[in-house]
Amino acid sequence: MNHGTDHIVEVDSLVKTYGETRACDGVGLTVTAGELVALVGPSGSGKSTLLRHLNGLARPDSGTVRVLGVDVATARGRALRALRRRVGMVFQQFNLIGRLTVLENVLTGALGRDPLPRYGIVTWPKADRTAAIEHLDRIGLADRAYQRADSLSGGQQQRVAIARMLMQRPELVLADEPVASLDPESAAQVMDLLFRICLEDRLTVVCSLHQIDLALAWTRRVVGLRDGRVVLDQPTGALDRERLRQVYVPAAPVAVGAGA
Amino acid sequence: MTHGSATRARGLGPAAGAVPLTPPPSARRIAAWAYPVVFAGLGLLAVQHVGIGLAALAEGGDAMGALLARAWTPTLAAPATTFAHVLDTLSMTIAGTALAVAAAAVLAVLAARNTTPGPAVRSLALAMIVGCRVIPDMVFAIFFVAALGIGPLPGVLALGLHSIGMLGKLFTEAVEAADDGIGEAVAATGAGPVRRLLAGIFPQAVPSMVAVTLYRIDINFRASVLLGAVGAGGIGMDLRTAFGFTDYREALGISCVVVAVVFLVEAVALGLRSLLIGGGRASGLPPVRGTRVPWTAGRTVTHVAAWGGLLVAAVACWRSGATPDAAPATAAGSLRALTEFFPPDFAPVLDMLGPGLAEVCAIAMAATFLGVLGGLVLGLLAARTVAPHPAVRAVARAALAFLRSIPDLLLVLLFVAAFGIAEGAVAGTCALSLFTASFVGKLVADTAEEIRPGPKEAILSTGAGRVQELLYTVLGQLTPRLAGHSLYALDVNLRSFLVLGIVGAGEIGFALSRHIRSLDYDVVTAIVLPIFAIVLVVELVSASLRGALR
Repeated sequence: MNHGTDHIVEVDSLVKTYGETRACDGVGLTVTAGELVALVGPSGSGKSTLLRHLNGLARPDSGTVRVLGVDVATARGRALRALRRRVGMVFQQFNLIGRLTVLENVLTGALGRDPLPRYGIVTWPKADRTAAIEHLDRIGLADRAYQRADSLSGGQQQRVAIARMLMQRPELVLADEPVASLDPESAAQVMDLLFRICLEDRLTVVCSLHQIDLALAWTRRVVGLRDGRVVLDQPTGALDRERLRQVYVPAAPVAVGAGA
Repeated sequence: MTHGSATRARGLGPAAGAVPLTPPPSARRIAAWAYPVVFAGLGLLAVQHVGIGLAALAEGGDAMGALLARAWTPTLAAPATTFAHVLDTLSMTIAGTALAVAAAAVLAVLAARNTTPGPAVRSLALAMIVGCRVIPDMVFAIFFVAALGIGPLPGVLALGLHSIGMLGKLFTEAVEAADDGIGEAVAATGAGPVRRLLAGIFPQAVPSMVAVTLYRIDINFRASVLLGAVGAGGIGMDLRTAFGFTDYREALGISCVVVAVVFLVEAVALGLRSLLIGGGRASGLPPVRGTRVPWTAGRTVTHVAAWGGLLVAAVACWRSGATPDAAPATAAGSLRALTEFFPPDFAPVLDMLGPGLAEVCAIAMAATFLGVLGGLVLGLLAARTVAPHPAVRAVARAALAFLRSIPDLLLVLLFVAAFGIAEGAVAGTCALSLFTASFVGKLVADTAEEIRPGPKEAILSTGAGRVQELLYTVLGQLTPRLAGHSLYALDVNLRSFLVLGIVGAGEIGFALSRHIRSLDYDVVTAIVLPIFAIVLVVELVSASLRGALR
C-alpha cells in the first residue's frame, strides 16, 4: 500500500511459549492488501496466539511481526495504540460490556482516535453518535440502539461487535473464531455479514476458524496451522476437503476422527 | 429473538435517521446519572458543614505529628496486666462467638426452608435473626452493662446476640444449600428427623459454617476492643483510660499490642480455615482393619480442631463468666433494664436533637464521601485486573491490610486526641474516613478482581488509552456494585455515631456519653431511636437504588 509494498502483514519465524507449551513455533505469514485469509487448525494449534500478535495483545519471544508497516513486536505506548486503531478485532466471546447500551458499545470503537476519556452516550460528539447509528443500521440492529447489550442473542451481540470494529475505520480486520460460540444458523449469518462488509469496504481479513466448511465457503486463501507451525498455505480454489482434513490429523496417528 | 434481520440488506432496516441521538429517558438512566451527582454533591456539602478544609487538615496533621512525637517511645506500664486484659478480650470474643454459633445453628435449622418444622416457626426464626443483625453490638453492650454492671459478661452477650444476625443468615443459607437427596437417603434407612438432620444435612453444611465462624471471630475481636470502652472489660477499657489520662506513650504501647493481636487473630483464623476446609481430602485409600476408622491426617486435624475448639470455648465462657448459673441474674437484670430504657425520654435532648442529628448525618456523609474516594483508588490499585504493576498492587494490598487491622475505636481516639475534643466532628470524620477507606478498599479490590478480561482486551484493541479503557471496564461493569458499597459505607458510618459517643466527639456523641455516664438510659434510647430511623431510610433508598441500577 502506501508503505512501498502492499504487504499488510509480515510475520517471520514467530516463536511464543506459554509455560511449557510452544503456542507458535516459527510461524511465517505474509498477507497482502485485500486478501481474505482463513487460519485453520485444531484447537491449540496457535491460531489465536498468531492473531493476538498482530495487534500487540501478545508479544513474541522471538521473530518479527510487521503489520501495516509497523514493527508490532517492539511498538509500545502511543505507537502501539496508533497501530491498534487501524486494526479491528472481532472476538469469539463478543466481549461487549453487557450492562451498557448497544450504541455505547459501538461508540467505544472510536476511543482510539479520541484524545478524551468518555463515559455515557451523551459525552460523545454528535458526529460519532450518528456514525455509530449508521454502522448499527448496516448490521441491521439500529432499532436496538438503546437496549442493553446483554439482552441480545449471541448472534446479535457478535453483529454489534462487528459494528464496533467498523467504528474504528480499520484497514485490517482480525477475527478470532468469530462464530465458534454461535449456533449454526447465526454462525452463517454472522460470517455472511462480516465478509460481505469487508469485501464492500475492501478490507483485508485474517480470520481463525475451526470449521472447514466455513473456511472454504468464505475465504480466498487457507493457512493451516498445527502444533504452532504452518503446515498448509493455498488458495481456497485449489483445495479439496481431503487436503484440508489432513491439517487436523495428528502427526502420530493416535487419535481417531479429530476433524471438523 | 429472530435472526432474520441479519440478512437484511443495507438501508432496509429502520432508517438510521429515525433513531434519536440521545437515549430515551428511563428510571435506570436517571438513577445511574443522578446517584453519583447527588452522592458527590451531598458529600461536598457535608465536608463543608463539618468544617474540613485544607487548613484544618494541615493543622490536624501537625497536631497528629506532635501527638505521635509525644507518644514516642511506646511503653507498657504493666505488661502483665495488659496481656491479662488482652486475654480477657480474647475470651470475650471466643465466648460470644461460641454462644452465637450455638444459637444460630438452632435458629438456622428452624429457619431453613428444607428443615423448618412449619411456616410460623420459620418466620419467627428469621425475624429473630434479622433483629439481632439490625441492633449494633454497641447498643447491646450499653444495655447489658446497664443490666449487669461492668464486666466481661455484657460484652459476651452483646457480641453473641449481634453475631447471631450474620451467623444465622449464613448458616441458614448453608443448610438450604444442602442436597436434600442425602437427607432422604438417610430417612429411607428408617432414621427419624433428628438423625436425618445430623447424618444427612449437617455434614454438608459444616464446612461453610466453620468458615463463616472463623471469619466472625476475626470481626468480633475488633468489635470487642470497642465494647471494652463502654464497660465490657478487656483491653478496650485500658486503651480509653490511657487516652483519657493523656498518657500517650502507654496508649501507643497498648495500640501496638492491639494491632498485633488483630493481625495474629486474622492469621490464625485464615490458617485454621485453609487447614480445616482443605484438610479433609485424604490422598490414596487408607488401610481398613476391622471396624476401626483409620486416623488419616484429615481426620486427626478435624478431631483435634473440633475437640480443641470446644475446650477453648468452654474455658473462654468460664473465664468471662458466661456460665449457666449466671442465667437467672442476667434475665432479671435485663428485665429491670428494659424498664430503664423504655419509654424513651426525649425532653432533655429535644432542643439539640435536630442540629445533633444533622451533624451525625453530615459526619457520616462526609466520612463516606472521603472514604469511598480513598477506598476506590486504593482498592483499584490493589486489584490484579487494574493495578498498573504487581509492585503497586502489593503496596496497595499491604496498606489496606494495615489500615484494616486498626480498630475504629483506636482511630477515633487517636484523631480526637490530636485535634482536641472541641474539633470532635472534624476528628471523628477523619477517623471514620480512614476506617471507611479501609473496608471499602477491600470490597472494591475483591469486586474489581472479578472484572472480565474480554471486554478490556476488546477496548484496548481499538487503540484506547489506559484512562479511557479503565473508565469503560470499571464503571461499565462495576457501577451497581460500587454504588452498593458506597451505600453500605454510609449505613456503617451512620451507626458509628456510637463510637463517637464513647469518646464524646460531636454534639450527639457528647450527649450520648454524658447520659450513659449519668445512667439516664431512657434518654439514651431517645438519642438512639431517631438514628435507627435514619439508618432504615438509607437501607430503603439503597434497596430501591440497587433495583434501579442492576
